[in-house]
Amino acid sequence: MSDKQKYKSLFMKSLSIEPEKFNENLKYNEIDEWDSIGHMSLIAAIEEEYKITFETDDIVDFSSFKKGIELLKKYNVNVA
Amino acid sequence: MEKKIISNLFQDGGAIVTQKINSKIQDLSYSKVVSLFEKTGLILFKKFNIKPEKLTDITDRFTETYAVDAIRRKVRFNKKPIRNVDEGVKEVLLHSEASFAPAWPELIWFYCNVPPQNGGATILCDGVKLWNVLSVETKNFFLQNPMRFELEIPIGEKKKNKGKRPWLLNSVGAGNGYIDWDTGIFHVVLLKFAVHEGRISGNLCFANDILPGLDTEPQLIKRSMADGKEIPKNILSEIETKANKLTYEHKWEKGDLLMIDNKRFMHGRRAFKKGDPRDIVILQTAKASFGYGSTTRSKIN
Repeated sequence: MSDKQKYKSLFMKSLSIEPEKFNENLKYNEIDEWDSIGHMSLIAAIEEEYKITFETDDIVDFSSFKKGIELLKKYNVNVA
Repeated sequence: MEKKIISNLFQDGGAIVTQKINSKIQDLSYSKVVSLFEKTGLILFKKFNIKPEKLTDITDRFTETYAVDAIRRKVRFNKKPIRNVDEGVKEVLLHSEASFAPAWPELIWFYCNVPPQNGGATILCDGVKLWNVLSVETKNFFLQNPMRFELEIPIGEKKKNKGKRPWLLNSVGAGNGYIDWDTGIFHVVLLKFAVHEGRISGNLCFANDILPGLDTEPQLIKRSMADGKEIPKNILSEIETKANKLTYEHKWEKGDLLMIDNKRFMHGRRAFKKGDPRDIVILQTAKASFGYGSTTRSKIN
């Protein structure tokens, strides 16, 4: 599984998104599943997978699938 | 679209929309429904022969996102947004659905799959009309003082030995948030006003969760005014008395669909007997597909 595929599967699994509902332009609060509670599960899953701890500012800033990729670089995680 | 009012107890009457010969609910004009809804805050769709498994075909038109809602409520008809209403047979006092929560639904929908045989009516009170009849003392009190809600929201998963973690909920009025991963619970305090702007400019709506007991809402642990004090008894008693006088009882018929402005109307239910076949389901639209006040401002019309 590629790094990006792994990152995608973290989204789908932690937010319980069906594959047909997923796309790379996904934004926070744009679908039912990615609400404030879903965001907690998503962040926890990403932190666990990449063994990192997000700073609070970055958790708030994590507003889209793409933005997440950008933020992860700060933690030396490259998923692009 | 054939319509008449529901009750004079409401500021704008509410609206009953019924089927024309051979028409389907999906054929109703989107803009006419939105405009009627924003004006009245409450629409009852009747005699449209709606199939429960097709409910989301109707609600999707007016919904951008659904509230995922309390995990405790069972999914119905294999559609995630369709849930059972609160369990039990006891009376539920007037409230605005999840008005204390970060994701306060803009709209709620109730559909009657099986009507109750005895009791079990849904009660409705227009928060605009209620606000208008409250005393100056009570209005002053709620205009100046926000309320404080302490919440424990299940996340839906636990992570053993991960402990507690502070969490910023990026929502106005939220603070002191933390996740307890061992219990899978998010703890947060929210400050919110009990009264707020309605969809019609200049209308204030008194729609909140002041009246029901804390035992009816498992996520709500503590409720007070922002300074920690209780709502004064004379004010609470005035709200109860005036709300009761403005309460309308909707007696369900099979296939009825209610579309409710949850930021304007409060709802509840009358008690019914154990074993009654009453089957009402709920859908919660977190964000509507139309803007707040999008049809009620004169320059737009």
